[in-house]
Amino acid sequence: MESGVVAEIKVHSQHNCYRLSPEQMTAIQDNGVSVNLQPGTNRIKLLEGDTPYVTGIGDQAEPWVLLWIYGGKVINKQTDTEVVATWASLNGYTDELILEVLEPATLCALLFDTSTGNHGGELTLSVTAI
Amino acid sequence: MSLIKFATTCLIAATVSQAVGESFSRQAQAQAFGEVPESFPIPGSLPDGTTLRVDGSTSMRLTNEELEGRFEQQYPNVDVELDASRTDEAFEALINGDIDVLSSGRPLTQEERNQGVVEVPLEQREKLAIIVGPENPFEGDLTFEQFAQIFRGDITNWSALGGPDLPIRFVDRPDYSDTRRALSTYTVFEGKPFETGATAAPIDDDETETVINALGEDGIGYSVVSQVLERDDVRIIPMHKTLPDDPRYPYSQYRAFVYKADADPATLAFLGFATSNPGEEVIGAAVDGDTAVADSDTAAADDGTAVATDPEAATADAAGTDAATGTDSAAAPIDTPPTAAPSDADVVAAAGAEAAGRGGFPWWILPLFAIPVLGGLLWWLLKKGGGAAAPAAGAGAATAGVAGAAAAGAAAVGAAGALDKSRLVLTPRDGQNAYAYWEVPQEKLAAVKREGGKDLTLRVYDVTGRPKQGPLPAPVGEYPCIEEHPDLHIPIQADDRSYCAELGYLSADKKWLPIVKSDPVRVPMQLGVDGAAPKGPNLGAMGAGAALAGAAALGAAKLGGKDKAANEAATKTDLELISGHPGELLLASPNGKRLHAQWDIPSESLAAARRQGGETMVAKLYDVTDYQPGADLPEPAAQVECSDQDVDAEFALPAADRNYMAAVGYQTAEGRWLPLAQSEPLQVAQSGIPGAAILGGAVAGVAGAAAMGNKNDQPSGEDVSVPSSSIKLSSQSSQKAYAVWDVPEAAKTAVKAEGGQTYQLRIHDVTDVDINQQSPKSTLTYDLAEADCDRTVPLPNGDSDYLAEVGYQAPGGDWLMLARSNVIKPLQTPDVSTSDETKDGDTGVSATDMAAVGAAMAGGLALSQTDKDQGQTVKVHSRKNALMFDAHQLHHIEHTVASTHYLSPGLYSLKIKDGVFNYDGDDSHPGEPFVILWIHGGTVINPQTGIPVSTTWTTLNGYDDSLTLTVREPATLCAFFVDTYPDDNTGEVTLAITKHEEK
Repeated sequence: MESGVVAEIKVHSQHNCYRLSPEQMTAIQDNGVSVNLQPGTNRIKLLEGDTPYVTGIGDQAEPWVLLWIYGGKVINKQTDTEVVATWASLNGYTDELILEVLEPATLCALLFDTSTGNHGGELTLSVTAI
Repeated sequence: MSLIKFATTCLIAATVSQAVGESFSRQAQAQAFGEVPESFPIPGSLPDGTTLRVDGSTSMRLTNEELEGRFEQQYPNVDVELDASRTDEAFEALINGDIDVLSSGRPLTQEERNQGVVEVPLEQREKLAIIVGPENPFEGDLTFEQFAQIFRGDITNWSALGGPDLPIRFVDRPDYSDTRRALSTYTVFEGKPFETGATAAPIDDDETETVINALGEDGIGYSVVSQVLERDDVRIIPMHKTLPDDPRYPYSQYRAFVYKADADPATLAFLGFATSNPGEEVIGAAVDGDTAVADSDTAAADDGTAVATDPEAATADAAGTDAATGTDSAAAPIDTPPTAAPSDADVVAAAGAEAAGRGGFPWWILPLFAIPVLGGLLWWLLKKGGGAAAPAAGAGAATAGVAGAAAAGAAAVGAAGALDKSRLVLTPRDGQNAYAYWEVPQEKLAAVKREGGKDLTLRVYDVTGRPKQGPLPAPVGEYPCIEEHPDLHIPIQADDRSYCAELGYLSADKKWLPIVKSDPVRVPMQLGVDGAAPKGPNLGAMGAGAALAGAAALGAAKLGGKDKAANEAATKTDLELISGHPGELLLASPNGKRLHAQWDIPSESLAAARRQGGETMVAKLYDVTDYQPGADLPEPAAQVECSDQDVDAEFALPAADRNYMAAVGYQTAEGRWLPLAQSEPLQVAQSGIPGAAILGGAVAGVAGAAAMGNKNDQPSGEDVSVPSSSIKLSSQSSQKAYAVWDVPEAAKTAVKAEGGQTYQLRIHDVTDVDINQQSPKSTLTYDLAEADCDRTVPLPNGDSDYLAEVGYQAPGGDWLMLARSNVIKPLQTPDVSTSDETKDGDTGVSATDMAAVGAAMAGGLALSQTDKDQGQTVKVHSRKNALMFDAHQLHHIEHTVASTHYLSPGLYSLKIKDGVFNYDGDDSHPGEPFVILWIHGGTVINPQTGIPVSTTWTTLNGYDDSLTLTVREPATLCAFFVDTYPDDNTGEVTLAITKHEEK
């Protein structure tokens, strides 16, 4: 273990994989906001709008979004690996994903959530070819 | 099939869309109701020798017996003495101290309520059954009208109903019978005295046994259903081919328990059982014989005394209880659908579908069965955060009856989940008055008070020309509020302006502690009377959201055409108000699924109505769609029996695209209707359209008097322009611009008359484009509410030129422009302040507007249409676009799936040290270093967002990606992947967690 590292945990692709039911997968793709991605390089980020991103009771909410990218070959520049499906998150307005789209793919933006309360906000996700 | 493969199969259906799916748990929301305490303490024991005396309506007999059994099981040393005499006499006994609990089958009168008692209504009414003896040869069913005719003696022979030639005897209960009184409240008995005829065979007491014994082969009578179920000496006659276990079966009866305000612990414990599900009573510590008399107003648990379930959350339970448990006769469902907790709408829809096959059912009666009795409960507008579903669930749970535990559980969970469900609705009533209503959980109020909140206050702000959720200006009004009365009528200083309200506490040092803010609403221009607005807007053609919600505010507005005719007719047929002090009634459809009537009746009117014999307050809903001027009002589409203290009622929406009107008044024992107030007609547009649940800001426009005059002057087709409309676009930053417009209602009306349907703001990229000759390079389109007057918009490209247009889109796609702005370039500097006010016609371009800025990428809204070479933006809604994990799934993720690590407070960084994850080891892909992280359980801050949260999600992608995390409270890190078929996944990643020294 490197100096300063307090722990290293292994995350196994099967043993630590949550099995999504087909219904859940369908829900992800249906409930998420889908954007067709054409070949090229895209910058994907959250835009800070004029309207504060708030919870249902008006508290400031954490601006984040989960991205499920599938259906065609893409390369997340952070991993620099060609894959046909991947997940990424954008946390905050400065975070961005640079995605090279090799084949037409679909970007599905959604959130995971754990409670039915405090839902009132809306985020603007931009996808720009660069 | 792997996730990849599965996803591929779905790809064919994937488009740029914003499909949304509401997948929320339905919730109930506990509400305060009158003086009913929020809970009743159930001590672990009661002193020896305690006696509890319960008396009241015979209709409550089985309910009481079941409760007695539960109560004595817990307190075997307590003697419960049950009696079932009659409500009025038992009430006197209660007042005199001769009994401890009154079980009532009717709402108390105001006079009774004024005598220091607390009434705890049961949310579940008991169905009434029409019964005959087993030897009765009649085997048909009855309609409501036929039963009324039998009651009155207008039908005297069974042959008139298709039965044998046999005289009818109507076995009637005494006048004091609560069951008889319940029958009298139904519309079918209106118009004539509630009196029997020559066929009547009255009995001397209010006992069902007496009724049954008197039936013979020719008699017909009535009873609460629980007392006649599963007996071989009585038979229930179907009504409109439905039996009482069908939610459409018509008649039901109010039920309540009543106790004196100085009730002792045994009485409160009994109420605790009555408001708890069997087996779910929360038993506390013992109460010894010296325990002081409890204050019923503060009946919450004292130290060592646990409390029963919140009565309102649990009244459904209790209702299910007495229907579903205990005695044999109560074992069958009463009005319980087979599945737990459907929404009212569901019930109605299902019932409708079912009955279509049976035919003949009068649909107007349906909402009766789905309406909670607790008058103070407002389920509407829970649209935020599960919104429309939540109120439906609340009512649904209430109707669940026998579904018992499931429904009760849902209600309880809902109540718990509703803690953060604060909302404030501001509704203009006319150009000078508005009405504010709020729902704030007590826990929330308490939390703010702990922060120093002292005086609950409503502030009103004039937000005309301001961004919808921008900083608020100085308030224009400040009004003290009372926690127990969650609403307020407030004056409005000027019409034709936008306002919002905010509820909060003022601290002792006058610091403002906000709780909840309303959406902004536009107070329409106050028009003259007597036809100043000869033709109102076609509400049906408006944005549905505006029509649905805004119509509430427009209740007093001028409605044109058919609506106006209905209005006039309604007024003409409106019953003389009792005292010359007419009340006010506001009808709204806040969520497009329910109708909410709220009234304000002067106390002198209430008193006058009661003096004239008014016995039961009833709220009625009329479908006035096809109403002709001068005609009598139609039969009510629905009615709700209310208590005198109620100020509102809810109706399931019978159908959309109809006009409704509500009235509230008293029903006399003779069947006379004493109206107290009625609403203006409300047009409810097609439901289910986005925005329908938003009340604030959806104030529908009122037709201007000049509308007709302008109409014929307006050009049709593209570029319809009304000179008085204007729009200004100003740059706020490199990414944002602010558009503000002024469109007179007359202009809107004129353009809508030309076919304009969808009110829109359009932002065009007009770089190197002559907009008068060429199409814009790209356009962002925003659907607007009628009341909108401004919006901040993102600018996709900092190098581009932009202009804004406001107008209406016609169904065929034609753009009917009302105004076009100046051209701007995005500013290079960060945000600039926004002007609060915009003068009409001020469309000048400031120097700063024209400043060139660097490139920036931004986006639009909803179905924003952008240049394909530039990019696009979409909105991701935190609720509609979320995948919900329930508690079980989360537990599974944390304890079974994920690789977890406990994070003590401190500063951390997390990185993937090595390894890859591969969805499919059989393919040629090398795998990717990524992992999904869920951190929860304590407050943490991801500096990328800067927001303290108790749950956060992120991914790490690649070896250079890292997550910095400030852990304020102990939290749990869960690292995992997701896949539909993990079995062929390969690889493993190593996550390095580093804790840094705090500086």
